[in-house]
Amino acid sequence: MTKYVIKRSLNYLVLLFVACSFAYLLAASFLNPYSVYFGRQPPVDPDVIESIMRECNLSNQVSLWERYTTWLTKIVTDWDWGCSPLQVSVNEQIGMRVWVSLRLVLIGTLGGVIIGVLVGAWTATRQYRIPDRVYTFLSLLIICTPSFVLGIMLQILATKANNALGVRVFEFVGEKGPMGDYPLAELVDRLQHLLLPTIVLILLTAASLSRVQRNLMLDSLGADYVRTARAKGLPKSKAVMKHALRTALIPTGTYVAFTVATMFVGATYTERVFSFPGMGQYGVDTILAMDVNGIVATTAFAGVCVVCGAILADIVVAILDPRVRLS
Amino acid sequence: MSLLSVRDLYVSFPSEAGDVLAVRGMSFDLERGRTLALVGESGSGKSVTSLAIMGLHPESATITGSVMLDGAELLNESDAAMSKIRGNRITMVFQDPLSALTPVYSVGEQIVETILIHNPDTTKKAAWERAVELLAIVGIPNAAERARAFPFEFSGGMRQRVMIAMAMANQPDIIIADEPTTALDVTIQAQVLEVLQRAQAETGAAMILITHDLGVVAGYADEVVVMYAGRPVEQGSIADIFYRPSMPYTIGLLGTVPRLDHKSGEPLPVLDGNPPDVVHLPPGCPFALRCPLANAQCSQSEPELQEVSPGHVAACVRLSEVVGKEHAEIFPTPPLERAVLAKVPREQRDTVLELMNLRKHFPLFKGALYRRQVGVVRAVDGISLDVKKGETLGLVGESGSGKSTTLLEILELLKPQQGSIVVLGHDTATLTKTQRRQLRQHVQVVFQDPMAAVDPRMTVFDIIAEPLQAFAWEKAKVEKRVFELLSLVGLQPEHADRFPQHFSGGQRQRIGIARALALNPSILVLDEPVSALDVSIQAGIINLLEALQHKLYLSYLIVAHDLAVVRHISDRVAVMYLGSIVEVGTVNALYDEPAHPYTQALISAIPIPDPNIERARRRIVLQGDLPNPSDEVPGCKFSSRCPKLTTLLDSERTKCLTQVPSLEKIGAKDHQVACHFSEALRVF
Ligand SMILES: Nc1ncnc2c1ncn2[C@@H]1O[C@H](COP(=O)(O)OP(=O)(O)OP(=O)(O)O)[C@@H](O)[C@H]1O
Ligand code: SF4
Ligand code: SF4
Ligand SMILES: [Mg+2]
Repeated sequence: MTKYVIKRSLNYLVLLFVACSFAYLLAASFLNPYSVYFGRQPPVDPDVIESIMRECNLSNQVSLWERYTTWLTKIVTDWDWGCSPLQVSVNEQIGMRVWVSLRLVLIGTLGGVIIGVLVGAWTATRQYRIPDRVYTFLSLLIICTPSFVLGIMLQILATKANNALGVRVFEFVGEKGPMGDYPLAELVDRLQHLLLPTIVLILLTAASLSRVQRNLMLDSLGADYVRTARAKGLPKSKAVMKHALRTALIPTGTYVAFTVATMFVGATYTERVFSFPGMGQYGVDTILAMDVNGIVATTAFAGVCVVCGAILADIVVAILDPRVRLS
Repeated sequence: MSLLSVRDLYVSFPSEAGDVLAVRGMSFDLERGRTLALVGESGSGKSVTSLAIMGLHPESATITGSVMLDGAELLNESDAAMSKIRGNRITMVFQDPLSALTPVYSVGEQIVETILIHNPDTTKKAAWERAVELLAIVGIPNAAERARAFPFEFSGGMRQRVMIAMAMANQPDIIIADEPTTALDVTIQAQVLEVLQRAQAETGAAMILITHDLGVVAGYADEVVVMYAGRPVEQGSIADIFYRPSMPYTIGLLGTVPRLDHKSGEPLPVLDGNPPDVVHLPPGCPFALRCPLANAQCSQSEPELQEVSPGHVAACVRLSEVVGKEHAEIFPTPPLERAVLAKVPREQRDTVLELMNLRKHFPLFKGALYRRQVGVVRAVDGISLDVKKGETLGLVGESGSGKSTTLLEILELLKPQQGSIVVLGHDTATLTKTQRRQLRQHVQVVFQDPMAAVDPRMTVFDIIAEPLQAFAWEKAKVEKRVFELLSLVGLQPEHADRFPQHFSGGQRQRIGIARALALNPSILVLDEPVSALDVSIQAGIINLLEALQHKLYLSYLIVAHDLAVVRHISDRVAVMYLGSIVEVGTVNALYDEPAHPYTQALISAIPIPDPNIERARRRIVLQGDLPNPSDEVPGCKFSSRCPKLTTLLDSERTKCLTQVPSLEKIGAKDHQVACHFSEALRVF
């Protein structure tokens, strides 16, 4: 098993390297970092621009190949991913944003997964009855709503709630704000800011996962082994939990492992709406800012996420499914 | 007081077409230690009855009547109360062992669960030890170690043993076995039935045995209930049912089963038609549409069960006239027009198909990313066969023995990996593309469910016409031919524009045969053509195949797991084991004097639907499953399971284990056996 994971990881590493190199070459040849200095008032001296570009390894006077090797050497020797045309360090940016994303995504997806699995499994046992129809309708509604609309709607509701309560309970701009002066004030403030975007992520994850889980569960509810479990003397609810749900969780495991990882970059819209300085937003910003190094670093990060997701999925399935573990 | 007493059980399900009246008026008593068989065709309500007793019926079902266990009513008990009974006092063994065990728990855990549910004071350790003990009782080798294995690591027969271990874990009063061996090979069926009997002896439980196999009933049941369209139509002791059947349906059913123990050479008596739809039941006797004795009285009201003799009841208004009648007096046997060819001796007929040393090995790969070859599966390992004009060759053997691969190799008409295939005098290795296409017309195939592979939006006409159109027949000729074919296989012209889903299994098989015959083939390859059909329908198809053979001089190569069917339909039979032919000969020589230990075991495993004969037989039960076909075996491939091996001297045994036996002629005619110590033996 370990051997298998290592082998898989090595494979992925090669893939990642190729993808990043490709991303670098593409971004470096098609983007024009000089443009961020165009039209400045007062205008910046072209020599100054050129020297900044050279310093950032972005100069179009240097051959693409040379820039590529410099970029690669720096990463390999100093783990330095370069800087943006405005001389902001990529390492610094990502170092900060990863943790912001981590909080949001982990809480959001884990919450969503738990709710999604439970709702999905439960509605499956109530197929075509009222709770099932209600949840089906709600989840489809959420799935159809773009995440920014969902975010904005929540913001409107939150504003109303804040007004009604007369206190700012819900915060929805940024990751932290002005905070009071009491013990744990920072924690409370951060939680307040985290609340709404997390809800959006939970809703989105739960909505789609509950659909997946419901269908998986329907398959396994009708399975012969659930009937066997009942014939052995398990009451229906226990047979469902212990036999049907347990088996129906195997494919969910793969799905979830993958989603958690890819969510780091997938939460872009949610981050935008709530001005959350996370990785998703960074990805968009770097493109707008002609930030070649930033783009490639984001690509690499996304790639690592996908790879982690894939490995995680393999591990989860191996844990959940003896058929995979043993053969 | 009876252990279990079922009275007036009615079960219905709501459906869009109306209420499905699945069980209507079931009553029986079951005594301790006895075995009651429920028999009847598919859909007759056998499973629904058993699920209703267990309280495991779908929630939409409406149930009335009474089910008493030791005098306590079970119907309308809560799920919690029933859970105390299920798995403890009444246990169940289901049909499909492949899906009946939860894939993610080890078999030991699943047995432990059964024990702990009903004995919460038992320690986990004690329960585990008991589970291991149970696995040993049901014949799982290395039980202590195998208990940790997961269901997917077990073969079908092994899983069914686990199910039985689970069913006997809590010393139940009643074991309900719903088609416990239907999904298994005959050799494994014999093993599992033996284990089931052991379980019953060990626990003293009564058993409800649900099966469509009258041979199994003959061997194991004390009492029998025959069901038809949800209704018990005849009930009695095993002797009553088999030797004094009194309801025309029972009589018809018993007469229509091909027998392993004699070759009649005559067509099988048939039970025409299909069981009625239990949603729209016609008034009167549900069997009236198929009953040769039916008269106006029969369709007035549904006949009640009447006493024939004490303990023997049957539902028929003409009971007094029926009692004592022979099968043949009620059910006419269709005449068979024999071909002139039938009189020509085999040696003088043309050879239409010849396999010489045919081989098909599949490389076995491992690993998802880095695939590497880890061995070969010797699916077909050098077989030689020939089929003459107008002759039927049956190919038998356990699943995995290479029968289907052989058929596919023939159908492809390509150059084989090794050896040769000669069809109508053409060696397939030398054919050009066009020649191969031409030859394809002469070799056609019929599958178990031929309609499963066709587009459901095609009408019967399109289905039958397709091969003709593929060979560019003119439109007018196609039309004429399709109607000709329909009447040839016993379908009506108005069936042409219907869709296959609207037909019953037997009719679908007729459509499949019509399609296969469209291009006037010389050879028909039949892969399990009747195994999905109920016995009463099966007989009609077998007769049709025989009639067509005589009419059209067809040659058949048939694969079927039911050796009684094979005996009835074949002229010669070849027995395959792990890719090799171990015995081949004329059907009578092979069945009456099988000389290979494997053939003997195979034939011995088939139950005969006659209680006296069946119970007097000494059965050769093969140990274990078919070995892994990729294992390299020196000497005789059958040596790992050969019952004869243990009776041999050491020096003889060495020969079995080191030298591969080749097919040698024995006895009269062309009877050939691949065994160093072959010896003819009568097994029934
Ligand atoms: N859940 C259900 N809903 C509706 N109809 C059902 C349901 N279960 C069974 N039936 C119908 O009840 C009738 C009896 O079915 P049952 O399964 O008892 O037959 P069976 O005798 O066990 O047949 P088989 O030999 O194929 O197992 C059939 O017509 C079947 O279609
Ligand atoms: S009641 Fe009539 S139709 Fe039914 S079995 Fe008897 S004779 Fe046949
Ligand atoms: S050759 Fe030996 S092992 Fe093989 S079937 Fe004959 S007796 Fe058995
Ligand atoms: Mg059934």
